[in-house]
Amino acid sequence: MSNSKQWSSATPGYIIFLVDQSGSMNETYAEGKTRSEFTALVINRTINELINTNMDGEKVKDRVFISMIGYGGSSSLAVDDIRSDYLSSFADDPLRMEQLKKKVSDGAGGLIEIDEQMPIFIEPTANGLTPMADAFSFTKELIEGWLQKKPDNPAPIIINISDGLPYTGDSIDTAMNNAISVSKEIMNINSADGNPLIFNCHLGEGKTHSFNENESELSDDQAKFLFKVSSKVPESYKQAAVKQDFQAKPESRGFVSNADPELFIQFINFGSSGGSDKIA
Amino acid sequence: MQISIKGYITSKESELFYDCADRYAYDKSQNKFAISDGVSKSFFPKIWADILVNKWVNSKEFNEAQFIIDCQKNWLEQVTEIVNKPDAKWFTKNAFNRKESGLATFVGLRFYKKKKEWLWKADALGDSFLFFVPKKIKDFSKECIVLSSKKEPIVFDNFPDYLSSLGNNHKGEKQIMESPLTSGTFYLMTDALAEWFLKEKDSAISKISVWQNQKDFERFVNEERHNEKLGNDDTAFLSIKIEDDKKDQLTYVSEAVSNINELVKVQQKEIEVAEKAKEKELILKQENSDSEISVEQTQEIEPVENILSEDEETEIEKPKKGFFKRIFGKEENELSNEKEEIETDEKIEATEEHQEEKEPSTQGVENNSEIEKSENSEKNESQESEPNSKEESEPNAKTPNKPSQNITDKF
Repeated sequence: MSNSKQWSSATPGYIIFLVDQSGSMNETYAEGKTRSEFTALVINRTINELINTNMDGEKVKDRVFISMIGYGGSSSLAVDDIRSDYLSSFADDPLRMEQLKKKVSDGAGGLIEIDEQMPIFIEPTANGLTPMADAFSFTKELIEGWLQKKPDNPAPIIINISDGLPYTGDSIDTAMNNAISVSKEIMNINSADGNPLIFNCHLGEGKTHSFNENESELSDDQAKFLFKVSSKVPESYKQAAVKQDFQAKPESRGFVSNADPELFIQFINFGSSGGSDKIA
Repeated sequence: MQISIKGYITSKESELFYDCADRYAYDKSQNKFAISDGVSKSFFPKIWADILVNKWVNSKEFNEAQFIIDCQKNWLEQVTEIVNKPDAKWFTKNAFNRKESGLATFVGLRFYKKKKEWLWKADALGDSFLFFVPKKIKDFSKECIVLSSKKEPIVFDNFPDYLSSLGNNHKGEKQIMESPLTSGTFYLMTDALAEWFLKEKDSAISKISVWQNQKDFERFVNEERHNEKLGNDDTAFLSIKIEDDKKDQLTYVSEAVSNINELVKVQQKEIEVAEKAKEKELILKQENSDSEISVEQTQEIEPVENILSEDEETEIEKPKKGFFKRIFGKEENELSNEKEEIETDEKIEATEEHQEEKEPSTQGVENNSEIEKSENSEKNESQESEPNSKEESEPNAKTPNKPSQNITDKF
């Protein structure tokens, strides 16, 4: 079965978070946070979860390499390596720690409040345009580099988080076509574990589409674009989709459009499930 | 009855013995044997597995409820000690505060006498298995006794039954079996090996029979993993061979059992030796580079102003530089770049010395603060949100400002 290789210290997985850091990510999203702030929160929590799942108490196992690639952000057309490291490096060296109060079970049916340290690995950024195709091109280079060195490892996973269509200052159609073209090149790369997977999460308001099987089912350009740049959900990820309440059908593509915060979190849990469900 | 014991253990591929969360133990005076597999996603599973097997084989009067309570108390004491150490990691403290528990499978086997007859009794919880293969086995499928709490059809997954180190959050129901002790061999195995054993059947027994020591076992594990016949998991094996010598006593005639703590010690020593050798090699290379640099220094030192202005000019390149610095020294294959990096550092160092000479001129003070500023901005390089001047002046530049090479070098 493709995309089913176990993530282990011997054969780590590779998750690439592509993060839209364009100016529009500054718009208000949820819980009094902007889209970029909420995105940073979700990615920080996800990496924290991966650390918790892949540690044996005192040591974090390097079962996954993570890249956070921002586009827009530092300048109008920038594609930046926000951070790329093995999981243990993230655990050893967060940007900073936040103190949180959290309620947990006291083991006797009640709840107690505890102090928890929340590691921060990415800060919110919102600036510039949306050079998604360039981000995909950069990702393609990373994947090729990865597979050259790790041909027997799990196929890489790309999770693209954006609030709109690609835009580089010229025509949106051109920017979209460029992104579609590069995404297809990525999805056609062969590895021992199948093709790399691209899953797309679009943040916004309006009619939501997710895991559709046909482009004809989709009513807007945004969803149609996401359909085109997303991988078919492989069998090995269907269970993770169901676990997150997504309806994964035989031809479903891994995307969600106009995701609200809850859907956004569910989608990221689905996309990063290789690091928690497929570990040795 | 004569008893021969063999026990071998190894970690997942690319991990250390120290990381291994499988454990086994036996006590000849109690005629008890146990194996356990700490669930890798749980909290301090190897401590939990270790306590379970050792306390179980050493206990004389067995009261199960009390046994679990005692084990849990011991686990909590050991974990609390680790968490309270000054160098405890944030994720360790978080998990401890969240009251996360250690989880482990368990198989226990004991021999005891009842009305002049020797019996064996075993209990199993989770995907660790006990197999008993009679001495003169004819039909493996019919005669091999299989004990675990896995239900038929047996599917190996990441969700076994377990004992929990906190409260009553145990999963599954243990399976118990009891029978007269006869000639044959008991095999206690953790899941990866048990899965292999169930697939290989008869041929598994002949393959096992050639293991004479830990090295044989490790060789077998590597080969079968390579052939994709054995899962990449911690793997533990304990066999207890029974030969009926027509005597009433149980006599232990041979023991070839690896001790995980000894394996950890030996391996750590090997690592220390290798690290020292690597350190020496690096120092030697650095010394060679230094001597080269000192010859070139007088010609290569550039004015501070030039170096700083270069930094300003290439603000886009800052993340690249910082990134390279982070990986510098980690990758052995970066030695060609190493020299270049040392040279850069040397330039700044040399420049600082140069400034000291100039002091107390204001120019020197300014330059020092600028170097500091430059270092600070490099520290926060990956989070810069302000558009940089170069990008602003060249809005149509579409080249990503970070070559993938910087990342792929870290793979």
